[in-house]
Amino acid sequence: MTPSEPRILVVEDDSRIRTELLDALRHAGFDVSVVVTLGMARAAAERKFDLILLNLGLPDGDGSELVRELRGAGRAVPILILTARDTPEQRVAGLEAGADDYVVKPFHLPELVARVRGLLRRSGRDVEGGFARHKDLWIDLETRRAGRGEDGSAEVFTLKPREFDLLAFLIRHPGRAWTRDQLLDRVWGNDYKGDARTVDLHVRRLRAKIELDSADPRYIETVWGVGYRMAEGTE
Amino acid sequence: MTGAPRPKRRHGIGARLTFIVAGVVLASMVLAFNVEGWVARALTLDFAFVDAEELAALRRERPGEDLVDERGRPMLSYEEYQQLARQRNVYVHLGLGLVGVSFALGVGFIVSRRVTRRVRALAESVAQPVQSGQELPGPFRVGRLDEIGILASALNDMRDRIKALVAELERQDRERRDWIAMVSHDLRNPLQALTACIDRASEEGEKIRDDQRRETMGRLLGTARLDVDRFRALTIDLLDIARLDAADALNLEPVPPGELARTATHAMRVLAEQQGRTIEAAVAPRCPELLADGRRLLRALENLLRNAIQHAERSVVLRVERTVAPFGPALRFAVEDDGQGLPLEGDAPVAIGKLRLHKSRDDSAGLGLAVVRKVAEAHGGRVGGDNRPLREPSGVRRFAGATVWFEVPLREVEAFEDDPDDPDDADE
Repeated sequence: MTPSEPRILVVEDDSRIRTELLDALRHAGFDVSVVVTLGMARAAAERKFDLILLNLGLPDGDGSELVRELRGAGRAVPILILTARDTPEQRVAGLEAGADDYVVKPFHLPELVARVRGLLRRSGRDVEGGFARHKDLWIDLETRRAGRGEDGSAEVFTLKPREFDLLAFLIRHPGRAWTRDQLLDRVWGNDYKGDARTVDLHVRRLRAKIELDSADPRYIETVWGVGYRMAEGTE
Repeated sequence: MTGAPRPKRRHGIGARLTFIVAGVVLASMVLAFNVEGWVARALTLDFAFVDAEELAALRRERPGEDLVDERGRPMLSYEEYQQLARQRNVYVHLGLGLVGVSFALGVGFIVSRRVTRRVRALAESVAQPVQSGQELPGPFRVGRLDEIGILASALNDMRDRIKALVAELERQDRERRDWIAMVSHDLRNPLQALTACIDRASEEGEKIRDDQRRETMGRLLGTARLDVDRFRALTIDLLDIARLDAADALNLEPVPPGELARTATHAMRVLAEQQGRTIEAAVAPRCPELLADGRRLLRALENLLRNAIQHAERSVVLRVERTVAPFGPALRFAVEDDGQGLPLEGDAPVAIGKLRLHKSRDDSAGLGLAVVRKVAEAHGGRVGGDNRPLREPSGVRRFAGATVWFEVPLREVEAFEDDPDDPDDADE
């Protein structure tokens, strides 16, 4: 992480919400820039930001267009969507456009600041290859083994290939919500002809193997109406 | 007036029946006369008539012999012939009468069958059960323009009018729902600004040096915050009611009951603590995963918990367990509080979640519980409430608290079918 304050771009058209966001985020120690329209956001996003806070309903268009454009251009900047639309379909659409997380209005400022911090922390630590830990779970991508407790000792899970892939994917992106379609895409691959139920059933098998109580999972959480996420660890 | 123009009336069923009966009677009379003639002629040709006295003399000459003439015809006197003919005529007329009656009966049966068949077909198509979202029965075939035809075309007119009326009601209903959804959506931005203001003010309030003023400020802002949260819950309830009224499809997903209960109690913990109540979840072991709309069940549980927190003295408990409901195996989510109990209507506690517009209560429970009812019913389940009795020696009716619950049918997630494309199934 850079030694300076994290830079955040806020895209919000409602002036009162904008003022409060600006205040709260500056107060929390971020370097905040604010724009009002989608056009301004496009221009501003040319510069480097550590995170974008994006309202979806903007006067000159839908915020999810910007998400799609940025992801299409290969920009990995974390995007947190603010929305007044509260149906699962709309949340799924936002995540599938490429946003990292969403917050539904009205929200409390401390809650938002916590989400921003969580997202900034996560974006710095995507693990590729090798060995990864999360909470008390570990996975070894070389030997394709996973378990609970100290490395290689204690409990080792007996996982089938897809179950391992799914667990490895989720562990490498803790705290992030994934839709079923996204998981199907990332874990099974584009050409696999499955549907949301395939993901549900593999999650169920995986939970049965790794959770202490699969009726109350503590690792793979349900994001109601949307999909799944690996619970964020208490680090 | 809609519908096809009513055609001009021609002969009715009564007139046609009269024509048919008259025709049949006439036909059988003609037939009978002809047949009698044929029989008489046939009888006449078969005999040789002889004078009666001559015949008597011949019979005396040749007793016991069948008398025939030179062409082999039996000889008969005219008087004997008449006697014989009279006897035969009785049988012939009797037979003809029978034939005529059965003929008339047969024709009558066929005619009445045709009439009743058309009436029955009409009645059956009218009596089809009408379900929402389905076409009305009909249009009915008018066919011949007799009384039945007129009935059918009148029914068609009525059907068109009902259709127009239903379409109008549906349009109004849709408009109303869209309007509610829009209000709920548009309230969010000002509500967001208000929430943010209160959050910032609370932060600033902490900096007040004077202890007493800081405390007062904290209390005021805490109340404001609670009210804003309740307002927020109301906007979501409104939207949910509008969407569930629209028969909005459920978003089914596997729902681990323990996780659902934990999420719901977690979300309500802050409110409970602010109000000085404890809240806990007790999930029975081995509760199976549900196939349900998790987000909506969560809303329903949060509403039940919020309601219970408002009415509890000290504690609120959410219990989840398997049960057998009238509609089959179900999962029961029951929220117990230790308050005064549900208000009574007669001897029974009031119905849960029925919007009672004229009996306003001092809180927002009406709308929240209406959401619970809608969510439970959308899943094919049900909702209810009981008062847990308290043993009192004085005989005064008091309660240990209320239990408000809903039950959702246990549609367990289906077993995974092995998929040949999936390496997980190929390798074993």
